[in-house]
Amino acid sequence: MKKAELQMQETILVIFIVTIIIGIGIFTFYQLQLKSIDNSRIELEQNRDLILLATLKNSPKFSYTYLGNEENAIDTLKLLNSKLANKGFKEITIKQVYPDAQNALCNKQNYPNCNNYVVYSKKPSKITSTYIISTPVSLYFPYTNEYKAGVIEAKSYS
Amino acid sequence: MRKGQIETMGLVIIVVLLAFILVFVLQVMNKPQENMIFRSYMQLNADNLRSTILKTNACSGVSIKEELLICNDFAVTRCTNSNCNNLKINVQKIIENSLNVTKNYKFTAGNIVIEKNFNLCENTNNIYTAVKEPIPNSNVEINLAIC
Repeated sequence: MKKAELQMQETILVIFIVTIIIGIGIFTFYQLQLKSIDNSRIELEQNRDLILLATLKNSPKFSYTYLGNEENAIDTLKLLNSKLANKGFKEITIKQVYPDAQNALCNKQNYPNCNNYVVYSKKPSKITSTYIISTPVSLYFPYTNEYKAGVIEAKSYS
Repeated sequence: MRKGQIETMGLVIIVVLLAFILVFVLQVMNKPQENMIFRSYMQLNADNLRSTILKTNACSGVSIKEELLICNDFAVTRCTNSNCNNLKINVQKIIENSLNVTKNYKFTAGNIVIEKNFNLCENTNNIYTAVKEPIPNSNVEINLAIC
């Protein structure tokens, strides 16, 4: 083999190896970017859930107001009729935690002898992960003029 | 290919590799040190829990806030006309049923103190304190801290 041919072969080998290294680099970079985008998506979703939980009790759809003043509580009677508009793949429930109540889904027939109000539910056909956050809230019962303790729970599906 | 051209190509490859390494390093360096969402969430929980406890009815027509005030002044409750132990148990129940991330807390209302495993929190920086709520016409101040 001539010297020039040998040099040509060497060059081809070097270019081949370097191409493989760059290929692996690009692939790793792409994977990391995908993971980073997915993390950002989860973080954004968590942020949205947090804002939703923080603002839901003051939403006119659910909040209890007396003479136009917001009482910083959820009117349980409103929960029976109002449902939230599209919020993506989530389930938003409001549960009474104190005093203990019968463990049942609330509707017009069993109210107020129940403890679980579903205000939004949309599940994907295939659930890969579920993220749950909840926060305490006051529940107002207009028939008895009582406040009870509850939690708003948001389950996000992906 | 001339020797000069090969050297130039080598330099280009080195620059590309360096650019990749730099991007990785910048990504690692740019990661936030602490989870701000978690901090906001815990703070929201502490504030909401304090206001929920105070608003909840201890019995018909009497809120826990009123019971705490009476307990501080007279060491009895209006609902059961007994000592304040029942009230403490009820507050404890509300707190423990409402929190899902942590179960370590300290609730104080004047001389009434309800706590669980709070000594474990005192050496950490992860204590989330609800905004203090002074009760009008009394010296009682409501505090709640979770961690």
